[in-house]
Amino acid sequence: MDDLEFARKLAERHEAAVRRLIDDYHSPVFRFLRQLTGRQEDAEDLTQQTFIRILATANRYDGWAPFRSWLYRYAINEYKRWRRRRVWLPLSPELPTGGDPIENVLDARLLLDGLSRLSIEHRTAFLLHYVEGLSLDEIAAATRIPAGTVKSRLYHARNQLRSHLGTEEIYAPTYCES
Amino acid sequence: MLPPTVNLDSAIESLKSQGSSPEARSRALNRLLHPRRASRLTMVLASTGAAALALFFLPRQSSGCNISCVAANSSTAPIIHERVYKNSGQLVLERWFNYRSGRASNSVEAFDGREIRSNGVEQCEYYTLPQHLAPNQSPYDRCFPSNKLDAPLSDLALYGQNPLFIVQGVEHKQDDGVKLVIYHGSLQRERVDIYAEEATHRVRLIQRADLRVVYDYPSAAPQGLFDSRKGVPFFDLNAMRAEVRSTMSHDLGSAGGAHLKLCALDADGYLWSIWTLPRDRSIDRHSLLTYPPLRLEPPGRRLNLRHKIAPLTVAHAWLGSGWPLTWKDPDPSTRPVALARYPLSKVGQFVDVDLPTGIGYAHFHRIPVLRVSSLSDCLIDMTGLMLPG
Repeated sequence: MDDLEFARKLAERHEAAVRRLIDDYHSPVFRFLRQLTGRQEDAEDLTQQTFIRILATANRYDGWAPFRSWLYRYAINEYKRWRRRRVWLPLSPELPTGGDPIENVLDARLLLDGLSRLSIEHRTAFLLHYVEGLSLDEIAAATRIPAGTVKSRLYHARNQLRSHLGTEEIYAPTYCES
Repeated sequence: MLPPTVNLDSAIESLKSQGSSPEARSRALNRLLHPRRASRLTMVLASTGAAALALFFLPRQSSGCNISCVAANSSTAPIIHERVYKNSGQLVLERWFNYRSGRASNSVEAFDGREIRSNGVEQCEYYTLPQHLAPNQSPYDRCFPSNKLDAPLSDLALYGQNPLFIVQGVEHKQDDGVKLVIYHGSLQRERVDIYAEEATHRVRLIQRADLRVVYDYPSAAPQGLFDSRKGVPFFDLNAMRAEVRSTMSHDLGSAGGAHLKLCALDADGYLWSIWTLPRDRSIDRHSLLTYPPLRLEPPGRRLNLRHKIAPLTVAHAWLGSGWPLTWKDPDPSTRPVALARYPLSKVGQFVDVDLPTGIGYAHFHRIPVLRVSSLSDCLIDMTGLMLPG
């Protein structure tokens, strides 16, 4: 089933398609939003909201971008709405909340700490590329920016993370000639 | 103190292992497959009730001003002092704005060990870092010309413009002889109380669930608050950029087809080299990682591998579109390469460097080292100062 067909079936509320949507994308979208917001409960709410919106607007999907990019675009928009509601959020540390299994992994904690210091754009690009595994073109489609800008954001994100975290090496960009 | 070393691979793998619980997926599936739909009668009753409540609680003219009006009145004050507290009482941000001197805003921001001072002409950032144990690390204070306008009350204005922010009630209260209007509002289930002076319609306090923002409008700001600190060494970004641009306009040396353009020590203690190679040469990542260390150590002593290398290759082809502000070698037949290392001994005014050339290594002797805040300040700043030429 291609993306268009999948979206059409979602629009028609086919149970199998909805199940596939949840099975394939719920976990990654939750993870992405969890790492963006730093808050478990908010991430659950935003994930739910993302999927409700996806289902409500699936008939508008016209295949201009991969379905995955389209989905992450909704997730990013949900995150931005959430941010607008929390105007002073940058001042609050967005560290893992208590009881989170990630808290036990020191490197991941430090990385999340470093990520929380990046701008939304840089953090989004970093998470989509390195954690969610989206290609530059997919990120470009999800964020509606040129692929070159995605490269630039990844570069800045790595650079800033390096200075925050003192990593042994800057991550080799996947687009690097080698 | 040296920065903690993070293994990015394992950190990212840990992040990837996160995911939603089966229960959450099941709930989501259930919600999508069986959405709860309110009956039409319930909808009609609910919307009628909501409209009635909205009318009942709508701020009347007697309250004087709505939130947008409070934001507008507050921003006309010549001096604004803003403090943001956590509910625990911890001060997390303090800002002063002095709009008396023309259009430029003067401000002081202090948070997270960073302080920004702007006197309308120059903006300085001061960083309070922990002990500097790294041999080449330096305080990151830096200054650059700026007439940036800051908007201290933008958040309040956002409340005023946000249709989702609903004022549910207006209360009048007297506190220490000052008559206050309190707007009890909510934004997406979050309660926000905005206290404004009844006489001036200026905001005095914004109380949220997690933060408290206090505003004062003093007649004068503390003397010298906006000026750069005396006696604090800092990176002058403009001078630094000019120096880097001038240095990179010619070769510091050339050998084996490599033309060395820059050796710079950044504030984090990384020593950067930038050089160019013929286009048909390429340096793979492996040779960047394994090439001989910079000759900064006494013979026989190795660099600490915990801080080994931060390699970065910049392909010329990217510079035209994706990297328009990166330094671009005017000669299209060359390929710029940049590489950083973290020397553990003190770097002096000159260094000897061995650089990979794609077919071996070129040795450069006694190369002057520039001190910069960070390479991105010099090369990839968004002002386009480092355009070709």
